[in-house]
Amino acid sequence: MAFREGEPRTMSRRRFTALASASLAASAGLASAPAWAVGQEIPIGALMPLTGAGGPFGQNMMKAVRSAVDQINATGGPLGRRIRLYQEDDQTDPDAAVRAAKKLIEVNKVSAVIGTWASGVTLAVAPVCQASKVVEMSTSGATKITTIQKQGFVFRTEPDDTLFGRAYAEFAAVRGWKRVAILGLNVPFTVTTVSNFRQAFEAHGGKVLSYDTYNQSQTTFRSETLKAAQGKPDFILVSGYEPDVTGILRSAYENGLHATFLVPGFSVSDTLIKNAGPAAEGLLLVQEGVAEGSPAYKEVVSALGGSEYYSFAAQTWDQIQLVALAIEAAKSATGSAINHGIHAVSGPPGTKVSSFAAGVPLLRKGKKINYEGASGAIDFDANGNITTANFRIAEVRGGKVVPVQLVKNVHF
Amino acid sequence: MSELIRQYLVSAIVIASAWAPTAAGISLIYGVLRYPSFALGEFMTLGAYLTLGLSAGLGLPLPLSALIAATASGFVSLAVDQTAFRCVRRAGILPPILLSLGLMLILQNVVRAIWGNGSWQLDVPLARPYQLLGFTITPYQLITIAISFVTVGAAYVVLLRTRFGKAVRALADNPDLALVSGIQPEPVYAGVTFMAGFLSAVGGVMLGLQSVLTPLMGWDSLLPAFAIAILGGLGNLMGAGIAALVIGLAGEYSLLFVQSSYKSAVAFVVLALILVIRPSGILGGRS
Repeated sequence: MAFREGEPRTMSRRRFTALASASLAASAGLASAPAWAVGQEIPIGALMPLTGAGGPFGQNMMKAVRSAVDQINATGGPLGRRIRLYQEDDQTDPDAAVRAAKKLIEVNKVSAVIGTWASGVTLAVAPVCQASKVVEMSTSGATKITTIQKQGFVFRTEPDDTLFGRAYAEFAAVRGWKRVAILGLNVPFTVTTVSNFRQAFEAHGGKVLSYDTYNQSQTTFRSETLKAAQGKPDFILVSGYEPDVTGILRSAYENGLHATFLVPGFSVSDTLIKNAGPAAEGLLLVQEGVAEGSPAYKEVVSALGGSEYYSFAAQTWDQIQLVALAIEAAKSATGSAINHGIHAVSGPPGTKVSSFAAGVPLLRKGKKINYEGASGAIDFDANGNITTANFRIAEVRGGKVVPVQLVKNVHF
Repeated sequence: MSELIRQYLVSAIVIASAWAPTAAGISLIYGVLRYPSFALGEFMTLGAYLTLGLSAGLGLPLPLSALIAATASGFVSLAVDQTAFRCVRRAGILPPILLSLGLMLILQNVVRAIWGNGSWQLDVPLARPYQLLGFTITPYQLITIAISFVTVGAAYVVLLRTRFGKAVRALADNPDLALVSGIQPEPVYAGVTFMAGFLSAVGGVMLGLQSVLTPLMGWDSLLPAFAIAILGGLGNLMGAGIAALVIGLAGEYSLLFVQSSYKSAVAFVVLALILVIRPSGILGGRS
């Protein structure tokens, strides 16, 4: 079942009274909006992993969107209409996600679905959205999604796996590392990231000493780790998920190795740090970046009120801002209008703005704008992928993830 | 290279030690009850997670937790055999196979329901290795090898030296003859299914010591365990031990030539080649 803007599934009387007075207050606000601003609410769907593997990220992603919608509505909303947010849990599961997406589109009549996180979910939901000319905004990295994006309507604020590969190489160049051993889980993202890493790394004069792929069913990694460490590489790049990365780190420790490991940020969680214990010390993570220090990111941090690294929540924050700006720019809230509008408000040329509130006055004066958000500059190419991305390198020190360096402007 | 060749031997023996008990369980059940039990991989998962629950949850010492977990897994195996499987005793080979597949799914999802889909770690401190005769080996790898050897060895001795073992072998060799000589089959079946559950759980704990616990750990070990049971000669525990080593060695040394993702394929090529020469497994016939 869907539930609206933070409404609990069962509504208490007090809660109802509060909501009722809130909506009264909101309609009073509407009354003072410009005369052309009459109209219904604009339904937008938020489809995020509140449970399952993406659960730890999804909760914050949803919270960020809720508070962005509150802000947008407080300024009157796009075209003076309020955004009505329909929230669904995709359970990090493509089947559940497709059911929820159909419900959002057919029952709630949303014109945009934002926030799909797992690549499998995005790949499953995208065709459903495209068939109904509904915009989908995703935080998934798989290069394969680009094939679907060629039919339009699908935007990604997450750096493509290609860019992850290049970010590894740029960081290696900064450190002056020339020799690498690679271990990769035998899945599509490894193929993409490793081939792009390899190209960029070898262009910098780097040498790949060994490259071994392993299957998901592999349980122990003693021999693989020994082989990778054999030629004394400057670092070992592991492209994998949490369980195998944990196994590899533990094997390295138990073999008495002192190697430097570089892994994708999405493979590292508190569970990994707990399970690998001392073996995780010094582990280097490449995380998708945020626009650190930007006003938009500060707002995300204050909305979520914590000290974590909110890379995915920053992306969903930007997604809803972009959708709202696109509606304003296209003067229409249909999926096709949003699809065109996003291209118009996200990239240069135009005045840089970092929120809906800042962009709307310019759009109403007929000026062009260029949204730069909490997650980065977000300039889309024709397919709907971001053309440049920032990354953050962090290190595990004393059981905590500590930022060490930024890798900026990695290009397609 | 020569260093790697030496160290891979340790990897092979360690992984063989984790697989051998389950393979022995598969072998036992096939030998006596005449069906391949696909559920035994999940008894590995069950054993490892129960150990986790008892040690991390209730604070019992790890060795005691492992012993209780293995015994409990044995009883689960026994209970299922005496209820569901007992109903299909005379229904041919297909019903028990399907039952074991169902049991596999049930056990796996019970573990998911209780512990979630994430990964866990048994509470053993990570240890830097010893250098032993030029081999790099950790205390827990030594323990894994020792326990596996002792458990499978003990099962072998039970079959060889006890009255129960004699009945097991009689039923495995010639069920009709065993029945007319007055052997009660049900207690034998009960003992065998208990042993299989116990052995698999021990294997699961050993695997847990070497890697992380995930709900798929048993499923991921099922194919190698079957390969080992077949290669050793179904119904032959000693054969299972030797076959575990052969499959382990083939897998680890294949890394010198091919990617790690072909490890299991190489193990199966070795299996196929050996079966061409010895169709009923390394030690042929029965225990």
